[in-house]
Amino acid sequence: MFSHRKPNGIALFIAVFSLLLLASLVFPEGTGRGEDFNAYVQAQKDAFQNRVDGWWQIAILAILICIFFNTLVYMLGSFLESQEVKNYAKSEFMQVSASSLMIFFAVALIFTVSSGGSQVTVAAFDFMGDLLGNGDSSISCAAASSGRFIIWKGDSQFGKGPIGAFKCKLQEKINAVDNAYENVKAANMPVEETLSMCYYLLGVPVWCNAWDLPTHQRVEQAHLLAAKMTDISVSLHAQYVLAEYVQKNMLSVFLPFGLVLRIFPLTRGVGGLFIALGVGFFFVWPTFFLLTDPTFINVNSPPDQPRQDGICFTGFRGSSVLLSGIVTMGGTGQQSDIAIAEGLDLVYVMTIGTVFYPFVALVLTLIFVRAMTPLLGGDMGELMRMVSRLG
Amino acid sequence: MLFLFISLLAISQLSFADSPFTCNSAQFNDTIMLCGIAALSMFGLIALTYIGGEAMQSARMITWAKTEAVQASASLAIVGIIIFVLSTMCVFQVGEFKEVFGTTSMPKIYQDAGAGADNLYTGAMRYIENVAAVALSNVASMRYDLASYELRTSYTTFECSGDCLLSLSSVSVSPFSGNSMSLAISNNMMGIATVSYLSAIFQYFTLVYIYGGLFMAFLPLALIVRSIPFMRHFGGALIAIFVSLYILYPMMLVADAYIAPGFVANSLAAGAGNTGPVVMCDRDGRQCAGSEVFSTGAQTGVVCSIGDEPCWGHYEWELEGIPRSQSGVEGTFPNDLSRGIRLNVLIFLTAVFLPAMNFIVIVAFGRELSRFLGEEADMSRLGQMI
Repeated sequence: MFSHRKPNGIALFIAVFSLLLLASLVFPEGTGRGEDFNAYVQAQKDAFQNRVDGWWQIAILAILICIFFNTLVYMLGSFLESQEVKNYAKSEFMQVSASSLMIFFAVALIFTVSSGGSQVTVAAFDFMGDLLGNGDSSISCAAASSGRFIIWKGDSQFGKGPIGAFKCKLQEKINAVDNAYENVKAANMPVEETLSMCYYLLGVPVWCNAWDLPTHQRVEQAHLLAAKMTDISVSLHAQYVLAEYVQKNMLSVFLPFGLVLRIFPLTRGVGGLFIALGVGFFFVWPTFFLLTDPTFINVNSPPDQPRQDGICFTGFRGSSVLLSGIVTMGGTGQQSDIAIAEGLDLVYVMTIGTVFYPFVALVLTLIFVRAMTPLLGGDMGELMRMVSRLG
Repeated sequence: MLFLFISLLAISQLSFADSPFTCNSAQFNDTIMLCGIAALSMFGLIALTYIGGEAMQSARMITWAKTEAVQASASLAIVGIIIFVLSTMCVFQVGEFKEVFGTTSMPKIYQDAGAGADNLYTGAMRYIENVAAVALSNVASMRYDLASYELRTSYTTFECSGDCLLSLSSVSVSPFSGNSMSLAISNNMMGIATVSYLSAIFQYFTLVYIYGGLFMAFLPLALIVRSIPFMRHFGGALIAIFVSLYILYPMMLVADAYIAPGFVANSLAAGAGNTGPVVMCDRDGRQCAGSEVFSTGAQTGVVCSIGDEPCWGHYEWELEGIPRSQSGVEGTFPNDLSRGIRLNVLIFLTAVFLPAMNFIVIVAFGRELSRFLGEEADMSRLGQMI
């Protein structure tokens, strides 16, 4: 019944316990961070605390049930004089203890245990703050009201934080693609109508405009562009909906579910996977997406010394200026050639922006999830298989 | 152990009153009785083997009997726990998930159906029915768009100037030929809509098949098979499949019902582009059946519209009566492309992406369970076969 399992629960228990003990002693509450960043972290903390409060009864019940059964298994092992069964019970006891520590200190691990401005980062939000800057860090986004999305201040449409910034960038691209599509469509309409004309004499067609190859080519080019734009638009909308999914569910559903499921031996695989996915997609994925975006500007509060001394200008980036100009495409295209030429440029840039940057962030996140899941006793073989099939 | 089993049987009777599908008491009585017979037979066989072993002084038989006694007890305990969980699921109401998910209002599909009084099995079925219905409504909407673009692009006029009768010359022109661009794209969207519908309807029939009770026979079979040498892993796999299909799958579907409205909730603020509610044009006269799957009691995720901005036009069957004139053809109003893409993506993710996530969870759990019960079942390959 009980397969042989390496009793690594003790190591995990000691690691988690030591981390919590040392971290709470060494690192005081964070100070010196930007007001918006603090407000963002506080809002997330309140929401998460609220969720965890709703889970206490379930979590404690799960822990007690598991300890009860572990005791029974240990008694059975003693009765049968089976060392293997007793080892299993001990290992499970340590696993439950590690899970309990994770549950009891979940809020601290994610929010409270802070670097306090030192070089070492412990809490997950501090990790984000260190990498992305805890001041007025921003990203170029034409969909934001001011043209730039201040990450911790946010926007009423997209929310705050890195995922809000990701959504803003997607919306910017969606708007650009929609406008470009309308331009190409508007420019193509009269050309295609002209192309459909045929001249008849004595009931016999003597000339059809479709016979004019350059015009025909132009129409086909517009069709091809529209098809490409649709593919990009589908991908962008899908990413937007998935960003909503991540923003709403990772901290409030995946993480608490994962912590509770991890308690039971049978659901430990799923629980570990949920925890890794929750942390990976809420923290790692948006963070790396912003870091790989060329228009991202990292601003700390208080500013770095060179900026305080006036040696460096915040936000001076040639590529950011260049790229922020490309994706904003407005107006109505009357000139067919201009609309199609702009559309071609946009499709080229969008294909990179829609596929490449999120793909890099996704790969890094999956590497993180892959490393973290086995540590938590999870199983992610099927997830990786799904991702490889999608690829 | 037997006492525990009988007690569970007695408790479970309370939960099976007047419930559909899995929670049908007659169906369950048969399964539990079969499990009881299988357990008694196994214990009888073990006892006989032990007696035989003692009589023949065969250490191998005695060891086998002792080992199998433990294994049979474990199997019986597992089956008892499974039956207890199943009976709990039959009384657990989907409205209680609200607390688990920390939402202020439950999905509209559950609110409309007795304020969340469905049990988990009925709740899962209600959700998947709604997903299939909204996917079908979307197919109808796409079908209308395709038909209107076909009408537009195939409409041709002969422009005859005053003297054409004398000169026998004329010009033919297709004023809406530019719509062929949108026609191709709508065709693409139709493909996505069809895949979503197929996925949803596949899940619907899978659930009907599961609820039909065929896999119920796996439980008593697993009790016996787990005690046959070299077949233990097969018995474990049977239990894992049973648990995955009867406990995990319906539970995941109910969880999806809570997650699905969140796909659009943040976008409900008025605005351009991707924000604002998703609009679905009612083209089949079923009032966008199933679109409530994206709504909660507090907000509407998908707005159903017909004969009004932006869904001007007709029901799909009215297209046949459209006069073949320029104004008649102009009177067909296919949905805006961006809006259509957004709706399609939303339904695709609900009908295809969420079930894929369910599958990952089910496989991870099934693999862990089968490993715990004996040997690892290759759930992934089983899934590929499906």
